[in-house]
Amino acid sequence: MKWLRRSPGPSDREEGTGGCQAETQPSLALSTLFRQLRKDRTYHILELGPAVGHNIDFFSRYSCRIRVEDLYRTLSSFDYVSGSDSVDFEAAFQYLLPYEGKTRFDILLAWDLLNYLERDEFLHLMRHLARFCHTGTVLFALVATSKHMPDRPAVYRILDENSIECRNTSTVLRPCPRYHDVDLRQLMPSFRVYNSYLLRNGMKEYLFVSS
Amino acid sequence: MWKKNDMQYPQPEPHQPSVPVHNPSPVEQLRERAIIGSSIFIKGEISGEEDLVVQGQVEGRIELRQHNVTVGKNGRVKADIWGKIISVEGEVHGNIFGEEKIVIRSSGVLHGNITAPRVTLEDGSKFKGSIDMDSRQAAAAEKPAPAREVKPEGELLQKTQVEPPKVEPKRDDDLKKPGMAFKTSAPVSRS
Repeated sequence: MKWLRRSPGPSDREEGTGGCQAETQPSLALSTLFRQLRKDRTYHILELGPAVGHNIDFFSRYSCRIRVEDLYRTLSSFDYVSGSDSVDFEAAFQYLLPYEGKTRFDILLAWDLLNYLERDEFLHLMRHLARFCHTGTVLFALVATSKHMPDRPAVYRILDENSIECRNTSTVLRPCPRYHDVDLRQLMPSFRVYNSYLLRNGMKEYLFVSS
Repeated sequence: MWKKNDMQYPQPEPHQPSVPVHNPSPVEQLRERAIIGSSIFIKGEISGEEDLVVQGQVEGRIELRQHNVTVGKNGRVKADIWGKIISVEGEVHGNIFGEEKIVIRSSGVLHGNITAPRVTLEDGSKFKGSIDMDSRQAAAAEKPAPAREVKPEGELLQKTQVEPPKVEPKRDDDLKKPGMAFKTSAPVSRS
């Protein structure tokens, strides 16, 4: 089987955020989501980004179960075996994100990860995750609309209900896939756009709802 | 004229950064704690009535529910850990259950699941797994009750899109179409 290909991930030393400026930005999408959260129920959250202490602290005010995957790092750590023409994405994601059949997440936090996936990876990841969503599961994502973007996902911290801090982990740029709404509809057939906001930094933040 | 030596005023002492010094209270000093040294390898189950610091290697199970467990920077643990306050500075492969709090220090690496009312991940720490911060569940853990299952409780977000009104088939030929003989809740296409 051919594994998902990925450029080498950041080493532990590189991962330090020195030299990269942090930018605070309002998040209307997350604000919308957080307004709906209640303290009297348990939320099952899938964090596809890295474990960030601020975010864990933020969610600790709610009763919740957070699954942290750091998917970009996981994908980066896999070398694909050449010699095979087809990639068995389904098996790959079942291996990388193995959940029990009865698992149902309430919130998926993708941050800017989707920009770093090839179309096939994107499609199959969404298909895989849709199995673990119920009707109304919310997916938060930031989709880059500019020509270029950093060559690695940024680290996002939830500062409060209305704002987040974005800290790029790389100053190297790469072309951006620039997924449009039409692409997203094709790649995420199990989700519909609940709302979206264009940010000043060229990112468009989306709240998707599984249907 | 000013002489060079005249300008050599007594220099203030370099500012010492204030480092918080931990002065252990008498109670803390009296509290016993066991240390597993860096050259020690233990395979099996550890339990007891004192705090534990692991600087060596442990494989198996650590159960000190009423005491603090620290996995030091050199500590390597492949075990599930139960403790009151658990601090990870080294590497742990296993699930950890904190009665009060779990702290993953900046040097800490954890591959496993966390269950505790309060969880702190310091910047730089490496973690992969799930975090269960259901304080009610943690409180219930002391009692032999079945674990509460997380169930979806409906949609988080209220619908913004107005659903199209239900259209009842009125034409006779509509009623003849397969699957549309009776009332339907789905919107009917008129194309």
